[in-house]
Amino acid sequence: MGRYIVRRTLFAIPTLIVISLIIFAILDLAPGDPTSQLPLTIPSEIREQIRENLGLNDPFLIKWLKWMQLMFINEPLNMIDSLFGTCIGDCEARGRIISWSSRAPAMDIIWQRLPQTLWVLGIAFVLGIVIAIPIGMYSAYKQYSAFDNVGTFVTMVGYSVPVFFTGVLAILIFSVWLGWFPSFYTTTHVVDWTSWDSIWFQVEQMIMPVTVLSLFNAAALSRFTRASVLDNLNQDYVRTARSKGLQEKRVVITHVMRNSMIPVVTLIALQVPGIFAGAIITEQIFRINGLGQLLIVSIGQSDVPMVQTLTFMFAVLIVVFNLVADVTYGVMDPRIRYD
Amino acid sequence: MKRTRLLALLAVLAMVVAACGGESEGTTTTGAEEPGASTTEAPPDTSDTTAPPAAEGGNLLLLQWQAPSQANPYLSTGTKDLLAGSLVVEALAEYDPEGNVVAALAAEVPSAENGGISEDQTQITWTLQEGLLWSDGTPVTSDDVVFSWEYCSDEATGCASSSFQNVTSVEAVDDLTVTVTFNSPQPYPFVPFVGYGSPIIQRAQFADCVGEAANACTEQNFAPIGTGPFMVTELRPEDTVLYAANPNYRGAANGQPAFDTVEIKGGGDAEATARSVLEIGEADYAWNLQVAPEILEPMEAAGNGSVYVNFTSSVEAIRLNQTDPAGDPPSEFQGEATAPTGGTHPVFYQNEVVAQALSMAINREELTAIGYGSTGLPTCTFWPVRDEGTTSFDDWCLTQDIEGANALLEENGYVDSDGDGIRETPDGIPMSFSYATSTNAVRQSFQDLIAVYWEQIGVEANMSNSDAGLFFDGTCASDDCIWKFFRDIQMYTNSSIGPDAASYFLGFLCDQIPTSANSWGGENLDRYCSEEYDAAYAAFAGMALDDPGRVAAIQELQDMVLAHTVIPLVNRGTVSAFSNAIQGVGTLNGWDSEYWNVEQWTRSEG
Repeated sequence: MGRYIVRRTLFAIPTLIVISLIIFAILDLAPGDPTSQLPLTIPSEIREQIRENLGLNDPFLIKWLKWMQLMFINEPLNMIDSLFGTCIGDCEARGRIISWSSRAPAMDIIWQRLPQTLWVLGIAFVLGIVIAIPIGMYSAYKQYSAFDNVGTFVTMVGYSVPVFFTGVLAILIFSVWLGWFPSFYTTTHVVDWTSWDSIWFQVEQMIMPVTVLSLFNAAALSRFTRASVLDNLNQDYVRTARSKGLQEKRVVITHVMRNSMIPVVTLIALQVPGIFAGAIITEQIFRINGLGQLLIVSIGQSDVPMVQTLTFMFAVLIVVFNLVADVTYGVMDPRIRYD
Repeated sequence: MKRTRLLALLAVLAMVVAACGGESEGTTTTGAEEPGASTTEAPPDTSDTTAPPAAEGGNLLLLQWQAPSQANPYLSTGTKDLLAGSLVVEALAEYDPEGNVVAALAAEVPSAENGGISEDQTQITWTLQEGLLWSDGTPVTSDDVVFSWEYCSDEATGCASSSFQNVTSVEAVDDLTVTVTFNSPQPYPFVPFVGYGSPIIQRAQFADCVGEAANACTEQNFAPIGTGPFMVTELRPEDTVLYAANPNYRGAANGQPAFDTVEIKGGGDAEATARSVLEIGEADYAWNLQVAPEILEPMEAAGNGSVYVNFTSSVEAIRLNQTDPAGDPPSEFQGEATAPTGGTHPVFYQNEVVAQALSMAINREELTAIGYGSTGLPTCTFWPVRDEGTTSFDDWCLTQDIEGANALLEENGYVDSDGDGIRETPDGIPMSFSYATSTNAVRQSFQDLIAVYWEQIGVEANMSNSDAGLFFDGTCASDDCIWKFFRDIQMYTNSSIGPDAASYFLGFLCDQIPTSANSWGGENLDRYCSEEYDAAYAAFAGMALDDPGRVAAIQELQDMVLAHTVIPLVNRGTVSAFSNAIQGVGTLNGWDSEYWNVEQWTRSEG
């Protein structure tokens, strides 16, 4: 297993380099002008000067190599410095990847965004799992019962109805008509864990997006769990366990669930990068200015360094969590052995 | 057991990641406070709808659906950044809602009478008010004004302001007086240091940020030191900006500003911000509401807020390609042979008949009602500013006249000889034109309607639309950009830099035509070229501001352009929404920052 992990990690490095080249090439070759949002009255000489100043006119290879050096060497060094308070090398004058819109280091802005993405989407993800698995299991256990049929219907609806509909509907009902919850998310709110008001404010602004998202996530996951449990309920070992005289609860929870969870956990691991990419639409609707919204806004503004950095980060996460999923699968299922 | 332990570890790790994300929220801030300013905490939350709002102090919540990226107006990527900066930094003078120049940091507006403007109109002298302080307590001097010019005119800075284009030098005469010298006589010298795109910044703060170093000065760009009513306490790019009242503001003695803190919250779209202010009542202001009228108007009925509209020079207009077919080189302007519309037709060149017929066939009232509702006005002029917007076409252009247009074309030889419903020119060219605009619901509905109007006069419009990022792409990486104008007709909104006609009408001179040789620079996108126009413009540009013949000269210029190349449709107002609790706003200002008088805003009780 250890050898397998090492081999996969080593293989990931050229993969990521190729991914970075592809991302860089696509974004660089795509038409788009960071000055396109300036009023039309700004004359073209000034626009050209701004583009020159941002480094847009450098040759492609120079830009890519510069970005590689910044992304693979300077940014990790910077992260180490800021986390541990050290100063490696020339820490003052170290170059950073600069966003074209805000002229600030792109990684700083991304780091600043992580909390709201993790708060809302992370909790929605966990809540989705917590809802989906018991529902999926019970639906499979009592297949074709009333619970199962209702559950099937609800999950079908939940999965088919898009988030931008349920989100706006939730805002309409809870913010406009009832006035219970705010329709947007305040990212600057600092939760004071000793103050109930402060905690409640955070909960209030999170309830709608988390509910909308977790229902959507739960729909898909519960169907998958149901299918997986159904597969296992018909296996011989279940019949053996029952005939051994084990309690039904123990048969289901200890034996069936553990085996059903193998593919489900793999699926969950593969979905984790999705948290970071952010549910772009939900973030737009509820104005949770997280990573997804940052990506969309940066694309619209042709802020190429920011888009490159973000998409490359997502690529890294996907590669890492693919490995995690494979390893988890091997760990959970003794029939699978890597070497 | 090993497996269970590993699983348990994974689960704990997942929980720790989720929890850690929440804890670190309070510690990651960028845009540190300026030296000398008092640190402030996050503003008290006012989105709790049960607490009654206070009359003094409190938080002002402004929603800009395009979130500010940074607060330095000279490095702005759009109006959103100019607005964010306008709460903090100010210029010597500003434009009021009618387009007049009023003094801000200056003691008074210079004029020929008070000797502020030189006889030959090449110099203007500004005097600062006495006792002005920066928010860090140091005095504002004319040296800061000089520095602001140096900062923006250094090419390596990448300054996004065109205010200093004609300025050759800015010199400090004494501590409070500064003289701006232009490269040629300027009848309208109120461009540098006037308006929210041309503020005064502090030399002490930005001294190391000139030129290439501009991009490295994140702290300064996020929290510039200014003379305005507020100071930046925290700026999160594309998200939120937090401000606190400036204790050294010159109106502080009068209790200005009334609010303790301001929050500009970005994100979402125009409709969501309009809903927040008008329907839910959870915010005080929403900017730039490009929302369909049938959605916006019912929102006001909730009674939480009102929609404010101000009309300036933003006119949505159709432009007819004036490329001279015999000109040199014509091939460059014909576009790619593979263009979907097959290149452009030389029909519109100096053709008053067709331009008039096309204009007569359009029902501007219907277009405005459908596209803009009360936030637009049908218009016959593309310069609807003050009293300068009269044209000779005002009698007929607001009424749709299909018969008249048909008659006009018939009697001038534009007949449908082959019976396919499309007229041909006297030379036999079918009147089938390519008609492009940007991808936008309102623009597409305009295209549909106009195509139908023109169908009734025997003109065919082949419609297309491109993404705004390509249509307005100044680098012209694709052929869809408006500067290339590789089609017969295009439609978009143009507006002027400021309330002065001269700089706007400059854009129709022969030497302003964009070509590939000058990298598609140049303002004359329609390629209109007329010696008569150039001569009339030269005469107009030399007139003084109070010359009684100025309005007539503008009308003459405008008539020439309207006769050939521009078909104005709708005067688009600047639209914003204010909560009914906010008082002191007055008229919405479309010429300068909409926050230009924020120090006078108060919140009414109850």
